[in-house]
Amino acid sequence: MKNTGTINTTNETALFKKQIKKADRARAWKRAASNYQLYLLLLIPLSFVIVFKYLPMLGASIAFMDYKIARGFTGSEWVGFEIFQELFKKPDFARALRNTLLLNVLDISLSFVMPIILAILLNEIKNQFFKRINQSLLYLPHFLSWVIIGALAYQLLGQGSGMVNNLIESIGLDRVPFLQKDIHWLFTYTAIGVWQSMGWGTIIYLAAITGINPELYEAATVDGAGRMRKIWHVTIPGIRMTIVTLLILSLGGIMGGSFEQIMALANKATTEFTTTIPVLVYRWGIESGNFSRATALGLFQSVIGLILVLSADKVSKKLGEDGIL
Amino acid sequence: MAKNASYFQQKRFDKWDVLIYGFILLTSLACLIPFLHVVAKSMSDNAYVLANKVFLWPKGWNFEAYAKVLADKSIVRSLYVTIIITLLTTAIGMIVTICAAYPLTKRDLAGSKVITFLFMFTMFFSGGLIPAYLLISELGMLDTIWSLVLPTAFSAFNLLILRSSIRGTIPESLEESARIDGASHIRILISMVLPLSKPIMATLALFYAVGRWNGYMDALFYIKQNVDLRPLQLKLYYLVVQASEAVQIEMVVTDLTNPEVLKAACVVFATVPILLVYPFLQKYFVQGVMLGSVKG
Amino acid sequence: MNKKVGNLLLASCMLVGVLSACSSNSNGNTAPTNAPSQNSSTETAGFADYSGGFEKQVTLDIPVYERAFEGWNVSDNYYTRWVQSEFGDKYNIKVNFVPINRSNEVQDYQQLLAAGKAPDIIFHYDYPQAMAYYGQEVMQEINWDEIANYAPTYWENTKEMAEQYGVVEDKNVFFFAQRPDFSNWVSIIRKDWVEKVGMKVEDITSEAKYNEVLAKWKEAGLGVGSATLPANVYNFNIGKFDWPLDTNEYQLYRDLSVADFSTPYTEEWLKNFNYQYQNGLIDQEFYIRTEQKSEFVAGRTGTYGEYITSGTDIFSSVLANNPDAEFAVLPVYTDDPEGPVRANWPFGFIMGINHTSTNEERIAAWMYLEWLSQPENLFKFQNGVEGQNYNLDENGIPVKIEGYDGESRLSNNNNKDYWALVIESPSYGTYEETLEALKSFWTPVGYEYIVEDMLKYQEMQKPYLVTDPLFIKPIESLNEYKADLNNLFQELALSVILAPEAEFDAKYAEAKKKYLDAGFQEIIDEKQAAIDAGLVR
Repeated sequence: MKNTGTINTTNETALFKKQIKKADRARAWKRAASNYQLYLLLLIPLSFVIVFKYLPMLGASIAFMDYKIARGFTGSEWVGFEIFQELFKKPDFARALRNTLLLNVLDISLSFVMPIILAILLNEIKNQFFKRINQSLLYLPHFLSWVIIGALAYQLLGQGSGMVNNLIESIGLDRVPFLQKDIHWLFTYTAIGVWQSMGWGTIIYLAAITGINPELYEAATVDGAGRMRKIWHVTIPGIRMTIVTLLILSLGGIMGGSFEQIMALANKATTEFTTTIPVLVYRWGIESGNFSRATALGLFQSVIGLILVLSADKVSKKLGEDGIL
Repeated sequence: MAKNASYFQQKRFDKWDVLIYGFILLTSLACLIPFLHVVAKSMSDNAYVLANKVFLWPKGWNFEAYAKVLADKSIVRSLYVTIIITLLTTAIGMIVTICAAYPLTKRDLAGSKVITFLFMFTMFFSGGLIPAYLLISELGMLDTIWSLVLPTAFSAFNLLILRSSIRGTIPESLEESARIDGASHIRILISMVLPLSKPIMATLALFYAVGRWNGYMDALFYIKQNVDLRPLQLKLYYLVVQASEAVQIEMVVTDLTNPEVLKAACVVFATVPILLVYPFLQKYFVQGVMLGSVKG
Repeated sequence: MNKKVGNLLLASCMLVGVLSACSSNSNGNTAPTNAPSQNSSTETAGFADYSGGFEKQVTLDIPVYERAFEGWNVSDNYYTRWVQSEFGDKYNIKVNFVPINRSNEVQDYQQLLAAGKAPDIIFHYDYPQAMAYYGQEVMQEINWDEIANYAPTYWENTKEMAEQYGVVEDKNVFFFAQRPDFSNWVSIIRKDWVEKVGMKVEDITSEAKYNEVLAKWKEAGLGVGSATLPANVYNFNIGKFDWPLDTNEYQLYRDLSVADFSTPYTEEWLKNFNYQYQNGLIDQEFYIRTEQKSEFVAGRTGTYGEYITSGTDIFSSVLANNPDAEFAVLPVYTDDPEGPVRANWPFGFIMGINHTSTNEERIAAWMYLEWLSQPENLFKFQNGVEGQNYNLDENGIPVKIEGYDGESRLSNNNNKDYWALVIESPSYGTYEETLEALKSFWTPVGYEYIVEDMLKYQEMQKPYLVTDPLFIKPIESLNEYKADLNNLFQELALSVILAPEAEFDAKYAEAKKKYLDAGFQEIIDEKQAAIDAGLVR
């Protein structure tokens, strides 16, 4: 476009802008129309989600009610934030909050990283038979219920007669209270959590790795890269998007956690770290039959999780990543 | 060809390989051994299992627990039911997820942010047990197979994974060129995007399948009168519960029980079928999908 | 700006489109608004006579526990059809048996109630949970006279309990099933170990002597005594209460559902526990055990308690691992100062009528309970058909025919879940006759002496039996703090037990204060007020 000088009347500019907006809008609608098929596709999952997820979500309103089953949703008395205030004032809540954060941060740092490492290492294995067998073995723990894992853990790691401790003693060292002293318990708990989930977690990363263009590896070889540099410069960047997505999503669980995992591994002598929010949901909600409380706690977990995910999303976008939204 | 030559070059076994193979081996042993322990318990005599004397090899060979599981004629029926609902859930789940993921891969789709948020929101918020039950009840799905299939058929988590995977592996230029050639969105989806996304689709199918296979809590409450529709995990759960129940309030005669061994047998019985499936899926996780010609 | 608005508009258009398509799905979140709570005091003089049946068919929904017995359909089997033909058809009632999951029954009931699909009778075994149902307002008020009219036999059997325990806040709410006083809990001890250290089982008649035996076992390297931390059921310190009872104190502190951590009785119990633990007399890792059986079977502990039945595997399992083992029943502590023994409740099921049940449905429920209470109906339900399920022996006691698999086969627990609505255990005539029959259920072959001793010791305890206090008013602070206190109790008790003996007093005082501050003091205060108002039985 020829630069006709710096003097343009405001009227001309305004008219010019209007024309552009009109053209923009027309283009936008044209594009939307050409994408009608995409919207049609979206209709199916959206209706699914509205019926099966959003309709029941209205029931979360019992967190703001003095819910009595006989009166139902419409008949129960509205109490606003009273239930939340009650919950936050309870002494166990502060402890549970601390523990939940602690356990989940530990979990995210370790349980998150391990599957990535395993997937990368598995990818390096050339013997297909060895690779396949080990892949299948690695995710066996995923199929064991926590009740069984808990019983096994005490059998192996019990200070008095656990097999691992028997071994330790036989080589001349002191018996270790893996599950029977607070700090030890914390690490054992995390380690078992890593063990249980690491194999299953490799599946996604392995699938993502297969999506990496093999020509990139060849190019790296040509450039003289050794194994480690290839991993660093080809493999990891190739699955970066998956890693970021999963990391953001796992942050959403920062207030959550598995109630069964705690119940299976906790005992009454090490109670410093064993009260968490999921445990309180069970104790105050399900055990006591108090639905309003259980729902209120659940809402609290969800809100914090959502806020964290949205923030992490913003941060990742600032860092140039794709993000979720 | 140049490709084969580089392949041969990499076949040398170096010190890194030793470390890697060793590490993987140790890790998978750590995962295998507890499972072997459960298998051993399932084939042992109850008295030894109770005394915690069984480790990796059965003691006092005893297949009573398996006999008990298999003697229940409805177990075969429940296995059949579980297979059906797993297949249905996986099929429906994959279709719904693909329909959601593909449009959302287009960054310039009007409204995509809001819609993505709508989906993502469901990952965090739920109404709770009673509202879920009420919904199923009002929809008339109680005691039907659909109560076990539809509610779990969509996972926003899987959606987001699929979306980011498609974005990552299929360059926009490829789709652009197909659009220019006149192909419709659905056509691109079916003939181009899906075939190129086999690994991730196999992964998500596995997630749906295993998730459905292992779960039984919903069946516990939704399937009441129609006992034929009980899935395998539910039947096994009941078997174990029955066996462990203390008899105090009951004061009537019940059958001989051996819960520990039975529990172990149930774990094996429920896990082995799905373990056998994974090797068949592995062929979809093949390296090096040839990306076709890209213009420009 | 325009683009953003456009986006939003687009999204909401789609939503509306989708929503309108789904508008046919009703919103299932409103409470059922059918029959409102019936206040049966509106019945004027005289009750309608339904002995000829109801004019319009009434649907009666009866709850039954679902235990998923193999090959058994709780809603449709020989006995449900028999009930329909013998009872339902006679009165123009359609009897529906609604399965309730035994293992998640409260959740099951709550879901059914919320969806309006719950049966006409709501039941539970524990009083606190029954109170919780009442608190959720799902039970309607009942008229005792109505029950007396339509179910005279049933009412005759259970009216005392209803009048004693079934009135809450001046409303008649609960009715009960009978529970004959039988118990099959037995404490077993390794006789061979006791004799090895030169003592006799019959001589273990006090706590001090028991500790002596344990000390001797430890010296001889045989093993330790078992121990467990009470959880959910708090019965541990009842034996230590003063005898004769100080009623007020007993009513204040004795509660099955929340532990007491403030009386000297608890202190005494903890002191003994601490002594046993610190001196290595009991299982040093008792707090990580989820059950006691494995240690006893492995031969590491020498005591064990369970509800004994003829099919128990405890003896065979112990013998498999310890071929020289011999067993005896642990005697009652007759040397110790006497103390109360917990008596079981006289009732089994605690029941209420669903708040949405109509007058006719409620009356039909009374008629069903009446029919069920008839001895011949009860007998058939409990034993089956003569000649097929059982044969009568010379005393008239039915002897089960093994392996009968025909049409009239009973459920795996002898149809208990059906007839438990009126009585907790089968009745075979007088108390003695029933006891004889039950003994056959309880006795494994070769261990008759165990059951005989168990019964002998039960006899000795009879003068000391006291039932728990029962508050007929909901204790708010109890519901509020119970879950947390139960958790805290275990933590505190363990910290006291694991502390060295010298620190016991300090630790106990500290723990006691913590427990009181965490809500127990409030509970005590509220209970005292209720006692003063006479709201306790």
